Amino acid sequence: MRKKPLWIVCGVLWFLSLRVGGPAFEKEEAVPIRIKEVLSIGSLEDDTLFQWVGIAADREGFIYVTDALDYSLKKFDPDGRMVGKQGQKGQGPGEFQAPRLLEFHEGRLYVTDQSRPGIQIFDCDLNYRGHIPVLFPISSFKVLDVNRIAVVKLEMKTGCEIEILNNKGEELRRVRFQTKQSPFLMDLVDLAADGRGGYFLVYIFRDQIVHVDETGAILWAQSLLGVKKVKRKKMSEMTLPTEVVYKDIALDSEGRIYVLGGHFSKNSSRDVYVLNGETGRLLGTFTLPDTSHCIHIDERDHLFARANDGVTLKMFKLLFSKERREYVR
Amino acid sequence: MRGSSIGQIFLFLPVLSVFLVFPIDSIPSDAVEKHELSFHVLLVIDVSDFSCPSCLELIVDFVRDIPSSIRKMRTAAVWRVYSPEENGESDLKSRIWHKKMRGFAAANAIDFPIWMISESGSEACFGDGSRLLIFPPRSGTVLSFSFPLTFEERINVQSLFDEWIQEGFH
Repeated sequence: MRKKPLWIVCGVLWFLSLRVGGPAFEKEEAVPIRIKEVLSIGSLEDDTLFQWVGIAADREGFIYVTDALDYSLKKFDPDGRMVGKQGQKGQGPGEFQAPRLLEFHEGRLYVTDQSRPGIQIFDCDLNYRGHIPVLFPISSFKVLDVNRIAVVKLEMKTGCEIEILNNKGEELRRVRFQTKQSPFLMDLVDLAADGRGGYFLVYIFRDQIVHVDETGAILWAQSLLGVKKVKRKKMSEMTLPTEVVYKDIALDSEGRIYVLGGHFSKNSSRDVYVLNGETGRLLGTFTLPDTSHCIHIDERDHLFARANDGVTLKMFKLLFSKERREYVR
Repeated sequence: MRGSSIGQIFLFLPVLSVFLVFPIDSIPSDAVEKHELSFHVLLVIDVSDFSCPSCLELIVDFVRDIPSSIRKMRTAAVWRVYSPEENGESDLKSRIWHKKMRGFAAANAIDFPIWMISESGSEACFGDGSRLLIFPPRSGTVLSFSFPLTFEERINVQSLFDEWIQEGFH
C-alpha cells in the first residue's frame, strides 16, 4: 500500500513526458525537413513592400502580393523584380481600402478587401477584370474552379460552415463541418482544398486541425499542442479570443499539410508543422527565420513567408533529408 | 469636450523636443522647420493601429476632414512605436517602422510632418492608443481625444477649426 503514491507519481511523470518538448511525432514517418532561402523581396531601404498581406504565385514563377499600407496589388518576376503595381486607396474598381487575401487560378487573381465586401478579379497583368459580389466578410477562401469558390464567413453565428459560391456570388451549397455552436470567432478556420472535394481546416483559436469530406464529415482530426483554452478578452459588447493557436495552412504538391503555429508554439509565429494529408500524422517541424502571419506554397513547392514585419517577403526551398528530394526552382 | 490642464503643455513640449528623432522622408525639411512649435493639432498614431485597417482608416478619415489650411500649416503627427529592445533589434525595428510610415504617408498624401518616437519617452503624456491633441491658440488648455472620436466630438472639433478660420488663425 505504501508504494501506491510512488506508482502514481511515476505514472504522472510518464504521462507528462509525452507532452513535454512539443508535439509527439509518429516516429516511423518522421521526416527531417529543412528550408533554404532562395529569394528575398523588399529591403528596409527600398519602396518595394510596406506591409504585404496576401500572396500567390503562378506556374511561371511570377509572384503576386497585396500590400495593405499602400493599398496595392504588386507583381514580381521570378528574380524578385517588381514588374507591376496596381491600385490605390478608394472604393472604385481596382481600388482598395485594406487589400488582404489573394488567390491565383487559371490566369486570374482574386483579391479580398477587409474593408469592402466582395472579391475583385484581376488578370496576370494586374488589369481589373471584374467583381464577385459577396455580402458577408470573408475570413478565408479558395478558388476551386472558374465557377466555384469556397468561402469561410467571418460572422457572428455561422462560423462553422463553408459556402460554395459561383462566380456571381450566388450560393451553390454549404458544407457544415461542425454542428455545435461556439462563442464568437472560436470556430474560425483557415482552409485548404484537398482536390477531391474535401477540405483541410485549421482552427485559429482552437488546437484542432481537421480533414473533412465534401459533406463536412470529419475524416481525421489532429491536435498538436495540447492547448485546452485560449485567453479571451471583453472588447465593447463582445468577448474575443486574444491568443492564436494556428495561423495558416498550406499544401504541397505531394499532399502534405503545413500549419503555421501561433502563440502556443515554441517559436511563436515561426514553427511550421508538417502533417501527412491522408492520415493527419505529424511528419516533422521546421522553424522560419522570422515571424510570419501566413505561409504559402506554390505549385513548385516553394514556401513563402514574411520577414521584417511585412517589409520583406522570403521564398524558401523545402528540403526533405530522408527522401533526399530536391525541388528545382 | 474633454480638456486637460496647462501643466500638460509644459510636460509635453520638452518631451516632444527630445524624442522627435525620425522626421519622415516624404516631408520636405523646410516644411518641418516651418512647423516647429507652431502646430496646434497633433495626431498621436499608435503603432498597433497599423494592424487594424479600420482603426487606421478612422484616423485618415479625420485627417481628410481637417480644413486644408489648418492641416498644412498647423498640424503635425507623431508615430508612436514601442520601446526598443536591448539586443540590437532596436535599430532594425526603427528602420522597419520608419519605412512603413513612409509608405503610409505617401499612399495617403499626408502633407504635414510626421515624427517617430518611442513609447518610453511619450507614454506619460500621450496615454494609450491613438489620440488627437488640440492646442487652441491663446488658450492655456490642451484638448485630448481618443480615436475613434464620437460623432459629437467630431462636430465640436470641426466647429473649433471653423472658428480658427473665421478668426484668421490658419
